[in-house]
Amino acid sequence: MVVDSFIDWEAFTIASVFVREAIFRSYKRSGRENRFMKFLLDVFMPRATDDVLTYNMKWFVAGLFSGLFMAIWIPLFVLSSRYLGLMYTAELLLISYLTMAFIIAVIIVFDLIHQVTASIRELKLWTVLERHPVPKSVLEKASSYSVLIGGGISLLFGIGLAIGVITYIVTDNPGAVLYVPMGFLASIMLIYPAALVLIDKIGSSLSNLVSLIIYVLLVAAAMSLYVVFIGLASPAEVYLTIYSYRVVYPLSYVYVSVLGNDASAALSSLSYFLLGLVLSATIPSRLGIKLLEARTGRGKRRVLKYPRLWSMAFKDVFILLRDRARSKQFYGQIAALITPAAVPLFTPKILYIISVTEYMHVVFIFTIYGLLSYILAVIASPVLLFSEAENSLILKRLPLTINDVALSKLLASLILYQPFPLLLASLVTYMLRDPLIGLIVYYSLNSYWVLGGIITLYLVLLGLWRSSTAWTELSLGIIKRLIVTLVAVSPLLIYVPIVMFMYFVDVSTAITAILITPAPLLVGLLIYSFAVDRV
Amino acid sequence: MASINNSYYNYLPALYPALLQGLAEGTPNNGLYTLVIEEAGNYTAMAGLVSVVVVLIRIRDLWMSFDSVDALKNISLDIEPGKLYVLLGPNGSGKTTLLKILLGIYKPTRGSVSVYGVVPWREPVKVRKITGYVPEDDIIYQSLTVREYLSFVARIRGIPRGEVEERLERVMDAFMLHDKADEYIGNLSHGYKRRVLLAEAFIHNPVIYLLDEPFIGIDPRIAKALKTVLREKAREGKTVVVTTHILEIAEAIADQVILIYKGDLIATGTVEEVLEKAKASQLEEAFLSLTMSHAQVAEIIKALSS
Repeated sequence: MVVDSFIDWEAFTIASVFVREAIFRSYKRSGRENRFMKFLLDVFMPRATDDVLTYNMKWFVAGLFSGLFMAIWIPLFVLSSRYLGLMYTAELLLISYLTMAFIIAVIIVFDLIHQVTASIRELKLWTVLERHPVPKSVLEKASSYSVLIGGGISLLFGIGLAIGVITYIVTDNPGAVLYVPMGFLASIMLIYPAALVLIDKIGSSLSNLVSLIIYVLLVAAAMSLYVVFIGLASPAEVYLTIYSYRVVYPLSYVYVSVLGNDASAALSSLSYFLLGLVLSATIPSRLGIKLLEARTGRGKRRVLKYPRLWSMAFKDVFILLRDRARSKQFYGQIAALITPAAVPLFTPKILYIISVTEYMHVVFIFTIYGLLSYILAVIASPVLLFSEAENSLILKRLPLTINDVALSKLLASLILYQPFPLLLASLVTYMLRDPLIGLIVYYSLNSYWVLGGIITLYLVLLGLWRSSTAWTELSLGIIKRLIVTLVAVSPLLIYVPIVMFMYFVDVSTAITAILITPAPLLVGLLIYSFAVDRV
Repeated sequence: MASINNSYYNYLPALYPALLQGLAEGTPNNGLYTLVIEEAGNYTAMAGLVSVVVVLIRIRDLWMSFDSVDALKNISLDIEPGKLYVLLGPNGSGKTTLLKILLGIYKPTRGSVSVYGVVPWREPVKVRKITGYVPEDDIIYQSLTVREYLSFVARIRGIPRGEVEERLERVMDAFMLHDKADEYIGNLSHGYKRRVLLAEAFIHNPVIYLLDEPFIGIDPRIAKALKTVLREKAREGKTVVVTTHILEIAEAIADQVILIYKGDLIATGTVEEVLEKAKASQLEEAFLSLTMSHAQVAEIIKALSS
C-alpha cells in the first residue's frame, strides 16, 4: 500500500507505546479521586487508556482553549480602535499579531521536539525496548513520531483554528478560518522535518554548548527580523513588507487571513502546506530524533558543598546544562521574548527617545525589562520542575519541603538566566553611555525574575507536590498550565496601572516604586539561601 | 505517643505522673505495667520499674488503595528498634507500598502510623531526616557524577559543609565507589547504581533504615558486608526494615520476619515462629505454604517445561 511506504508502522506502534507510557507515568495517582474531578480529568486530560485519536482530540480541545486565551483580547482592541476611527491600527495590530503568532508557532514546534524527546529520555522509555530486537534507528524514529501523534499537530491545529475564527470575526474574511489553522499546521509540517534533517546532519556532532548557542541565535535572528520589519516599522513600511513578501512563509498566511484573497499569496500558502505534508510523510519515517546520546567520559572532580539551597540549585544547573533538549527549551523561550526588547536599542529613533525623555526611562526600566523579566520567569522557570521527570521521586525520599524545592529551583533559574541580564545591561550601558541605567537594568531583570519565578514555581509545585508521579508537562496539563500562567501574571494587572498612575503624579515616585517593590524578596531570598543551612 | 497499660499519652513526660500514681498506689513489679514508648529518648531510668517495650514504628489498621486495588489491608504491626525486620512477600504483595507509607510518600486510605512519634505523611521531612531509604528502582540523577550526587544528598541531609568530603570518602570506601566517583551515574552499571543508592542511605548515619530490595544487583562482597553492617546497626539500637525476595538472606539476617501476601499480613515473628506456624522446616517451604502458592509453582513449572 502507498501509506505503508510513507509510514514505518513498527516505529509508529512504538511511538504510541511511548506516548501512552508517558501519560501513564505522569498521571498515575494514589488514593481515590473525587468523582467530579475524575470525570473532568477523564474528559479533558489524556489517559493511558485513550487511543491515538482520543487523546489527540483532547489535545485539540486544549489547543482551542489556548488559542482563545491567546487571542480573546483582539476583538476588544479592534472594536475600540474602530470606534475611535483608527481603522489602520486594527489592521496593523492583526498583521503584527498573526506574524508573531506564526513565529511563536515555529518556536513551539522546536519546544515540542525538546519537550517530547526530553520526556522520553528522562522517563527512560526506550530502555524498556533495548533488550528487544528493535534497532536503535527504529527507536529514534518512534521518538520522532511521538512528537506528531503525541499531540503536537492537534494542539497547534486547535490553537490555529481558535485564532482563525477570531480573525474572521474581526476582519469578516472567511478565508482566515481556513488559512490561519493551515498556516499553523504548515509550521509543524515544514519545520519539524527540517529540524530532523538539521539534527541528523549536524546536531549530533556538535557539543551541547555549541548546539545551544546556535539554537538561541536562530531564535534571536527570527525574532529580530520580526521586530525590524513589522514591530518597529511605520504603517507604510509594514504594508510594503507584507505585500512584497506575500509569497514567503509565514507572511503569505498573514496576508490572505487579514488583507483578503490574493492569488499569489493563496497559492503560496497552499504550496507550503502541501510541501509540509509531503516532507512530514517522508522524512520522519526515514530519520529519527537522536535519543540515546550516552554521556561518555568522566566529569570533573566536583563536590556540591555550598549552602544547602545553593547545593540544590547547582545540582539543577548542571542537570539542565547537560540536557540538550531541556537547555534549548529554557533558553529558547527566553531568547524568543527578550530579543524584541533588545533589538530596539539598535534603532536610532528609539534610542533617542529613550535617552531624552524621563518617561521613557520608566517605561524602559520597568515595562520593557522588569515586566518582561517577570513574564519570562513565569514561562521559563517551570522547565526546571519538568526536567525532574521521574527524578521527582528522589525529592520525595529526601527531607525536603515544598519551600526548599521552590526556592532552590528559583536560585537555579536565576543562575541560568544570568547571561541575559549581563548581556542586556552591558548593551544598555554601551548604547546609552550610562552605567547607572545599565546597573538598574541588571537589577530590574534579576529582581522581577525572582518575583515572577517564585509565584510561578509555587503555583506549579502546588499542582505537582502531592502527586507521586513523574513531573512532566503532561502531569500539569495545558489547561492547568494556562491557569497558572494567568494567575501568576495577574499581579501585574494591578501593579502596572498603579505604577502608571504614580508616573502621572510624580515620575520619581514611580521609578522608586518600580525599583523597591521586588527588592525585599530578592534580598530576603539571598539572605535566606545563605543563612539557612539545616534540615 | 506513649501508653501505659493501653492508656495513651500524647506527650511522653505526661506519662510520668501516671507512673508515679501507679507507684504510690502500690509497688508495681517489673512487668505489671507495660510501657509502650513510641518516641526516641533515654528510658533507662524507667527500666526495672516497669516492663519497657519501645515501639518506634507503630502501624494500626492500615489500609491502602490505588483506585480500585487494595494494596494493603488492615495491617497492624509494631516495629521495635534493635531488631532486624525482613519484609517478605511475592511481587505486588504491598511491601514497597508499606515502606513508602512509612517514609511519608503515600498517605494511606485509612489507619494510623506513627514513626518515632510522627505521622509520616503529615510531617514527612521529620521522618526522612532520620531515615536512610533505598528505593526498589534505580531512580537517580543520571547526568550527575557519583561525587556530585552524594555531596548533594549530604548537604540536603544537613551534613555540615566541612564534613561533606569526609562522609563522602567513608561511604565511597564502604561501597567501593572510588574508581567511579567522577563518572556520570547514567554510565554506570545497574550494580554500581545500587551501590550509589546504598551509599545515599548510609551517608547521614540514620536511625531508621528502610531498604527496598537492597541485595538485588550487588556483588557478593558488598552483599556480605551489607548483611554484617545491617546486623550491627540493629544491635546499635537502630530500626532496620529490609524487603527481599531472597529467602536465604531473610533466614540469615532476620530477627523478625513479616510476611505479606496480597496486602494481608500473613505472619510475623522470628524465623522459628514462622516455620512453626507453617509447620515447615525451611523458610521457602513456609513461604509457599503460607501464601498457598504450591499449586501456582506447579503450574509455572508445567508452563515453562512445555
